[in-house]
Amino acid sequence: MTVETMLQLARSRTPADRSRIRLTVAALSLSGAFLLGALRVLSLGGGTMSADVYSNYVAEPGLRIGLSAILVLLAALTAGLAVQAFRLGTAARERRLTALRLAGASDKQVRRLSATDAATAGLAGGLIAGPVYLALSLLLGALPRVARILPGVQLLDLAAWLAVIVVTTAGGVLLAVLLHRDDLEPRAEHPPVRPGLPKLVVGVVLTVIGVVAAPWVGLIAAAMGLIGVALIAHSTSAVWVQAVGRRLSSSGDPVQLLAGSRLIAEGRASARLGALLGFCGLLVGATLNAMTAVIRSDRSIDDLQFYGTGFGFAALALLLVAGTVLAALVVGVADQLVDQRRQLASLTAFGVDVPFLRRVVQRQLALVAAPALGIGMAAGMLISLGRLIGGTREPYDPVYIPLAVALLVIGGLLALGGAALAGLFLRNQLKDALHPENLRAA
Amino acid sequence: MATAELVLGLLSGGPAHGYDVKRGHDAWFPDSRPLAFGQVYTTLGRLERDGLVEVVEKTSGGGPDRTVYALTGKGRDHLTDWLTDPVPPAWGNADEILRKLVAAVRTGGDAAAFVARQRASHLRRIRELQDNPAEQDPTSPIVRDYIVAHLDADLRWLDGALDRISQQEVSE
Amino acid sequence: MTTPALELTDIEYKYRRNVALRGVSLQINPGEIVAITGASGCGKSTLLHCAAGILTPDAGAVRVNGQELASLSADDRAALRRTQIGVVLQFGQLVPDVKLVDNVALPLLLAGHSRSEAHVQALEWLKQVGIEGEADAVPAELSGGQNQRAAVARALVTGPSIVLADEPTGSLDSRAGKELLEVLVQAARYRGTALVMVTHDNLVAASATREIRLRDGVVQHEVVL
Repeated sequence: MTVETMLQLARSRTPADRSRIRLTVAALSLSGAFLLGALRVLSLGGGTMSADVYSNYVAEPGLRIGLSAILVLLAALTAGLAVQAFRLGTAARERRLTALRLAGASDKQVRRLSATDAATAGLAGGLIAGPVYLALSLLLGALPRVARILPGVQLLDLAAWLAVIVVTTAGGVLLAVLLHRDDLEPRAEHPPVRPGLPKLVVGVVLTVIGVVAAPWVGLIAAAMGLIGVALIAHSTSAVWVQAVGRRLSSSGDPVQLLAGSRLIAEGRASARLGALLGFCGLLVGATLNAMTAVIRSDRSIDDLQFYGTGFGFAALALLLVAGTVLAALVVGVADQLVDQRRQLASLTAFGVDVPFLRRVVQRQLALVAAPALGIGMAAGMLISLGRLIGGTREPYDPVYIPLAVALLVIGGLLALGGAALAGLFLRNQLKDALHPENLRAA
Repeated sequence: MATAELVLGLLSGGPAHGYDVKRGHDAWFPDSRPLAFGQVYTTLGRLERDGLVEVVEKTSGGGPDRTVYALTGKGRDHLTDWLTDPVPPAWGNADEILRKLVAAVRTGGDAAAFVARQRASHLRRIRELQDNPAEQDPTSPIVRDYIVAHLDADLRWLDGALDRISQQEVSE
Repeated sequence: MTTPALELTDIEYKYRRNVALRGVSLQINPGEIVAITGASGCGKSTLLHCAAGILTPDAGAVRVNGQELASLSADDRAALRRTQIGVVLQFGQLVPDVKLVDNVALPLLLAGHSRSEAHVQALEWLKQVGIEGEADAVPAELSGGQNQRAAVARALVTGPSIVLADEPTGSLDSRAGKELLEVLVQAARYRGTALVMVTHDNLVAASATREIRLRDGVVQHEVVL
């Protein structure tokens, strides 16, 4: 296989694949930008800087470490998003790779093709990360002093940029290698969602250990706790998707019936994204809890501004991630529409039209997103940041309970709004999916 | 017509009266026209003349219905040969295939092998027809299509028959 | 004695619960045209997929030109499949977003040929199957019959010693099916390639010189036509 052939075949030109790659690149560039920010903050070293020019987060060396840690965390979250985006449309992509294998491609060649695909996405993400970082730092520089958490760009950033490009490209290749499957056998139509009891147990155990051990081993316990919570979120989300899907599949209402069957068909992806959404909700809720605590305490206005900025940025970033997760969910649905277009188009004979299909899609999205976001945010508010990452030994304040209920509703409503919006965004895909053209044999 | 061979097949289970032969035939082909008595006796007479069947018992005062016939060695060979040969895949020969197939199953012959040979014969004929394009006059292609479609119908029926025969073999 | 183009020995294959093949052996000689027939679910497609290396049998050996597939490394196996075996399926085997000429050229491109060189051969085969005018179209823009013709061209472009076709006319109406069959048989004869067709269509089976009939995962009978 020549390099020309490889590059030509690696890039799929279907609309679904293009939007998948675009989303991956966007997430990777954001991740790269966060990483650049973290490197920039770290490169300041230990010296104190003027708190008149820079935000306290940057100016004070003690806070700097925390800021860069948060930036790294954000980079990791968005990188996770890139992974999800890259995994979208698996069925269609595998069909394409199978077609290539039928044409005589060896396993090694197919592996190389998917690696090339991911590497170009990684390269693009890394390249765009620079401008994104620049834009981000300019944008933040224009905000009030305490919000200027990214110090101005300097020449050294160029080297960091190169490093980030290498990292994202290598990450892309790694991703492709990890996700690749060699077997040619077509996958079962409905990949079952595993309830994953062991995962749930491990999650609970990790969380408990994390919370109990927090006062002694600090960060390690916090990491354990977070991983535990993520595992719990994923396993419960899988159970939820499966249960709701089953239940709706036996419903007499055609909208419910179709939404349920589609949930089951894409169970894995839905559960994964639901878990991510729930996890984001949890962090948002916990951050809001901490903000409430700060506001309720007797602090100076300066302090409030300081904390408020930090929490505000954190919550904003997390909502950003939650929004992107929702977007990923939407792209997944769009992909599924492309994948099932033949079956869907057949339904037009029974009077299925675009508004009907939109209701199905909105129901499908809302069923995953609303409980995940609502429960996640409520749980975050109840548990609080302090308990989540260890340390707090204060008696429980019941004021958080009504707040948690409020967040449960708000989270759910946000997700419903997102689902409704998604239905509007997807109207072309819905129209395409129902087009009679899809009824042609292959 | 293959009534003669069918009568041989009906006698292959053991000696029988003419009346038994008629009843046996009607049982083999339940939805078809019954075999006339007169045809049974003329056929048996001809077969006796040719040495394919023999009279083994004749009751006193015997009209034709009192006579018991049996297969001779020559008659048995003739029957076996008949069951072995596929029917030429020509127009209107489907009835003959049915007769042979029923006789083969009923007399315990290798019906599956017969069907395989018959299928091969039909498929060969279709290929010959496909390899030689029909004349370009107004009716030749129509005639050709008719023949191919009927051969195809026979083949599909034989497919089904083969499945039934195999299933019976499995369940026995 | 010549080496068979394809030789299967005691092939067994199990799907999770269903046993699809329970010991099938057969030989296909160079240039021979063979029809594999049988009722739905008798294992005929599974057999073809095993022969094509798409599935790996649970037991038994597949030999292509005397080379046993299992004894080869993954790369050599892929190379053998690419150069010695052509595959035509019922439908949907073309890469959806790739132009017809590139789709046909794929096996050559994957083997490392340059694009221009591969295109020359691909165009020649598109001409052979009668659709050279559609070289720049993508599969979705063409009829099922045209796509199947392209699949035939792609199966033959590397000059394989055997072409395996699984219900090649299955997605076409009788006229388009008949035309495709002619193209397939003629192309195979033109190259002297052995052709194995899995089919339930008697008119397709009739173009073979031998019929192998499967039933419940075993060879029920084999007749010369």
